[in-house]
Amino acid sequence: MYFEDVHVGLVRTTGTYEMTREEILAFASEFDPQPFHLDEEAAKRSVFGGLCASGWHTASVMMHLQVTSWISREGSMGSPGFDDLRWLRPVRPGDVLSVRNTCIEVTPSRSRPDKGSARFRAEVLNQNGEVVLDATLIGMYRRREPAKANGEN
Amino acid sequence: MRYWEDVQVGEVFVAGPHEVTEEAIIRFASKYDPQYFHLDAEAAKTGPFGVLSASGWHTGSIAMRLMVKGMLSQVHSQGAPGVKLCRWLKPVSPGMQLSLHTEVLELYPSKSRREIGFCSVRHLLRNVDGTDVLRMENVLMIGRDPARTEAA
Repeated sequence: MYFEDVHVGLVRTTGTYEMTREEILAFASEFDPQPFHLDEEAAKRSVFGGLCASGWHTASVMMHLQVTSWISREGSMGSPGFDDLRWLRPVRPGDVLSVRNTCIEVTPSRSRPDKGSARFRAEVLNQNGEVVLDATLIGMYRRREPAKANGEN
Repeated sequence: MRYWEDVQVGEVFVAGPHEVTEEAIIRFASKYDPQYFHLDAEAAKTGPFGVLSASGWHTGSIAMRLMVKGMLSQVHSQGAPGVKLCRWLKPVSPGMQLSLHTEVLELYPSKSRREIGFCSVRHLLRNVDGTDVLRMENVLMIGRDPARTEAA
């Protein structure tokens, strides 16, 4: 996908990803070793009421789903970051996640006629259709055709 | 273990360094962000960063690990509702040695849940050469001291 393919209102959805207990524990052991991500008993006594995935794990799965569903080698130029990411519900072992992504803004680059950026509202849903994470993501794209100096295109 | 009442505005928590390896970059990206500039050192030379670089979600996860080590394992951590802002400032490449600097900006009690307080923080993930590679702002939830909560 190139910059010209992105427009405000574009909605895309991904395939699904099952969160296994094994993967939740492995991710948390490496990156987020807090009791509520590692230990069932300790998690029951925590605010989460049971074992749940690290929020960074859920965010990383969001990225996986997007890359494998639509991000192309040709157009993608990475991202400068994201805003307003919220972990709205705990993600439990066995949950099946998918992503719904809506483009909310497109901005041609002022300094680089071969580039543009876009902002997206991304929602990670569980198998019940509940939003477990949402965030505003930013993507940088290559253009198929460089923008013209006079603002056409 | 410290309670919310024991954390001070202006306090800085530091953890690291964490060495980034090519193996770890590729392993993370293979699973969660399989784009060529995170997977293949040769192909990455022609990519947007000009060098093999870690997925931003990997960099954020490294920051998370250091946050647990430097701060959250020393307070009554109750999770976080989210991340207000995250910027990947520079590509993170193999051999970097990253440390996390977390500064406490603001502390305020929860109105709806007396057992926790909020702690607003700014994180900078910094390479050993002094370059900041990630900036992030978020709010942490920390357990309050029952004794002092009663007294208040």
